[in-house]
Amino acid sequence: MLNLDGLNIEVTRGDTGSIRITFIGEDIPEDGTIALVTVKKAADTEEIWSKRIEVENGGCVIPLTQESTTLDYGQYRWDLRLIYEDGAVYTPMPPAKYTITAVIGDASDDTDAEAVTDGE
Amino acid sequence: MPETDTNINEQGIPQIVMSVSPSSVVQAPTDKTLSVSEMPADAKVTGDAIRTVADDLSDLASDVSGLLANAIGTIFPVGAIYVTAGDDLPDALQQLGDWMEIAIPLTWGDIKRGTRSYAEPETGYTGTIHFWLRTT
Repeated sequence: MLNLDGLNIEVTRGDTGSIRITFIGEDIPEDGTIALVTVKKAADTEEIWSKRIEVENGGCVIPLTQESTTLDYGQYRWDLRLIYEDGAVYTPMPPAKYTITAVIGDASDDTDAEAVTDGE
Repeated sequence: MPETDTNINEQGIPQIVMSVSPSSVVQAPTDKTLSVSEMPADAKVTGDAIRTVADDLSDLASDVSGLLANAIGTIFPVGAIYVTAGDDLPDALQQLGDWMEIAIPLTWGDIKRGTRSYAEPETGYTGTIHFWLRTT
């Protein structure tokens, strides 16, 4: 499950997916501009993960890998900062929530779950 | 803070739309009045602009000075007489042309003698009153 509520991201623990960021306005970053995406427990704590993504065609895609979402359940903070080629930095958003929600099933390969087929 | 929007794009991918406002981009100071709008301020361009303003002010001061000289010249045309209790002809009048001091031996005491309601001047001038005639 991947929900977006404004800038707030809610994702099920261990899920994968992606979020497309589209920039609008008069100063859309050019291709090659770096979008730095960071997740922390809080603004003044160490980062849990960060990704440097190149902007293409006025936007970028944040890949949500298992590593990105396999965190302890709870609420984190994320933001995105643009780093232009001339060194200018712009943060187009305030810090927002990055919530990892609970999950029941274990999707990893090394589980003991039995294979069930219809009709058996 | 810029506006944001959330939706699902055409490929079905969750999408966040962020507004990038040029006015809040952190970059070198820019000035729309310079030759290239929004470019970082350039010391040479800024210096040239200041020099231009300085030249304009100098021209303005010269114009004002010329206007003042013309006004004084209108008040004191050739043939006008300037009377002063001081000893010297002011520089502004000297610059108009040639002046000749007319030798009239008139003092404050002479004025006192010739005037019924004469009051002692409070200016501190007590000597000769000078008459200057503009000749050119």
